[in-house]
Amino acid sequence: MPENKLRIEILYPEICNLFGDTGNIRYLERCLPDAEFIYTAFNDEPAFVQGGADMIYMASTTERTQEKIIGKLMPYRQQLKDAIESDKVMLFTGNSMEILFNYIENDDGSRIEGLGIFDFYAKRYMFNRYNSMILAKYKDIDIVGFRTQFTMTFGDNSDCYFAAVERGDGINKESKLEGIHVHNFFGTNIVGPLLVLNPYFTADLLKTLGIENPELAFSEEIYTAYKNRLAEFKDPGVKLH
Amino acid sequence: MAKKTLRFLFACVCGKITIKLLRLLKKNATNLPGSVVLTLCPDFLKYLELPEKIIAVTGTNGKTTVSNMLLDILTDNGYDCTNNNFGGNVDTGITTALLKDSTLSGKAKKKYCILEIDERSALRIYPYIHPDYLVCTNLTRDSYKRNAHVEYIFDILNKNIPDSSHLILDCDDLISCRLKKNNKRTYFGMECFDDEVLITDNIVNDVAACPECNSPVEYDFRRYHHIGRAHCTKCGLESPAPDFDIVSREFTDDGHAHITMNTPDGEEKYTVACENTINLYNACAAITLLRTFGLSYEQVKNSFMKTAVVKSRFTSETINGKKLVFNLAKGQNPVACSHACNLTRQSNETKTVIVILDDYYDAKTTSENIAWIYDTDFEFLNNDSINKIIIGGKRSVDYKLRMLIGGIPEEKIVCCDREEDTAELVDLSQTESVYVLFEMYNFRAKDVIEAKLKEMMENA
Repeated sequence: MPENKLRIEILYPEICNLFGDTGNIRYLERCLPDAEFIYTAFNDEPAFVQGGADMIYMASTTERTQEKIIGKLMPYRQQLKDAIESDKVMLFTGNSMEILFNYIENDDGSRIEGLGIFDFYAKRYMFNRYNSMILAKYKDIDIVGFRTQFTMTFGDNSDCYFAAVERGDGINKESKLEGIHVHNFFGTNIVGPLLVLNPYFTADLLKTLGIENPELAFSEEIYTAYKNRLAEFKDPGVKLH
Repeated sequence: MAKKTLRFLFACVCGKITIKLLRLLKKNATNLPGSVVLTLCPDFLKYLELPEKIIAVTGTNGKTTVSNMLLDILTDNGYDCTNNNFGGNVDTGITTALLKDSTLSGKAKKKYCILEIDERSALRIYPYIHPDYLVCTNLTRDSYKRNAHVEYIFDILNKNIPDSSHLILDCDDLISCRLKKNNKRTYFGMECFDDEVLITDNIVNDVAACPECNSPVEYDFRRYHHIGRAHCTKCGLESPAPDFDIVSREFTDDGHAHITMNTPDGEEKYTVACENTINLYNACAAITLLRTFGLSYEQVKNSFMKTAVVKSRFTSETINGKKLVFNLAKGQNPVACSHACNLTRQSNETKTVIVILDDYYDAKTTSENIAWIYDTDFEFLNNDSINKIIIGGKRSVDYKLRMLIGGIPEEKIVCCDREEDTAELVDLSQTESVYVLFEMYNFRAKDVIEAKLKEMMENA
């Protein structure tokens, strides 16, 4: 194996795999056939601990599993924080970014302490599922996506948001700023195949990974699908949910 | 039984009038009467005098089929049952069903009742209705918007199923078999057959890690997704032993299966309407309930001979030597849709596959969320027997992209914007069969395609 091979670590894929999120990695595998994909199981030590990953991905998971993962990653909290601060590329989709918050609050007010890496908290509304599409701007790129979640995020992301919302909500119903973008960490409530739905963002992410002229797999189809969806999302006749 | 209030009696009369009016208008009374009643009296079910024996069926997949089987067989054996097989499986539909078969003062006219109950309705139903027997067919991924994930549905059921209900559970489902651990329970299951092709390559497995300790789970056999016999490599959690266990099965050409079952009363043999191994779980659940309920082996066996497959979900016919198969693939439900893809790859003849899965219900007011197709095993269509895949509908490019990521060669895939136009793209000279995977809210396009394909086959 060449020394400079890209290494992409997927954290806990056997338990973090809800809402079609795994499509992101299957698409990256097609775009980066020479990269090494490290699938780290729950009982294994993550590769990033020894500095052995160029990118870390974590997908959506269940509420109980979120709590178990917080416990599992707590010993590696500092390494994770250092990795973020040293510009490691990370993509956390759905509710996985909540693991890095100060805490997650249940319906009854009880709290689950998080890793405390980001100064945010999530509040669960288990009897009020939130479903919506979202159209937002990252740099000059239109981001399209879907949200399906029980939680809302609270905290000030005005200087570290992922995308400015044009249609839909931000991290909570009062916010128009979606997700968290700190160094090269991207956290978003958008679930499902974000990278398949957003080819321009994917190309940008690959550049961040150090690929100068990224070639997206199935580029004709992916840009056509994006164009079709973007037109729908921009159509005011198409409702948010 | 709570003392009936004036509000309850008023709601009851209004509900009855609504049913009469709908009948006069020749409309089915499904949810509307129940909706009227529950608006007027939200705790209506608390006061209603219920049938003496209540059987309920819940679970992600198969509950309609099992409910229909139970109704057919109990009816065949002289049990007159209140039921909601007209389609309403949430609180409003269930209220309508009970109201239809009650007197003006809210007293049940029938002694027996079979209710299909949507999993999410548990918290509105079980506080008032305590099923004597409750079948849970399975718990697998379903619509993300409504059902979120399996653990969420498990928790809803586990918190709300009454302690008194005797549960009929699939021992091969390591999720649903753990419901209400202290309830009386009877397990059904199915052995791994020598000639069975197990599906070990599903994308989704919701029990890859032990639900108790998160250690790896080892499967003695995995039939599909997380369904199979398994044990935790660390904490000792394992699939329970089945009380009713299918140990052999043989399929006939006319859509039936001869099965042999080990039961607490010894070996029993049945012939059931069923065309594939996975769907045998439905018959297995129904037999287990009926035998536990008290029907004799002969009663169940004789009645099963008379049941038929629900035709709207799966049909297969041969016209002029060409096979035409329609398979309901249930959009937004990755497990049910993966089954349809798996069935398509199983037979050896050459095939053209038409895929019309746009979900008009999900896209009624918004843009359809297509995330679920990334949990669906479209990889199963990457098979030498399939020479062409025709995708129809607004989302056809999304499906094409999904299939390309799944490794299906581009030259096999054709897209068209209108579902109805897909039939025109079939070249019957190049294929021995046509399989149509269609979404349940798209019967209109399915009917057009069916008529066109039949015409093409008849004229071929």
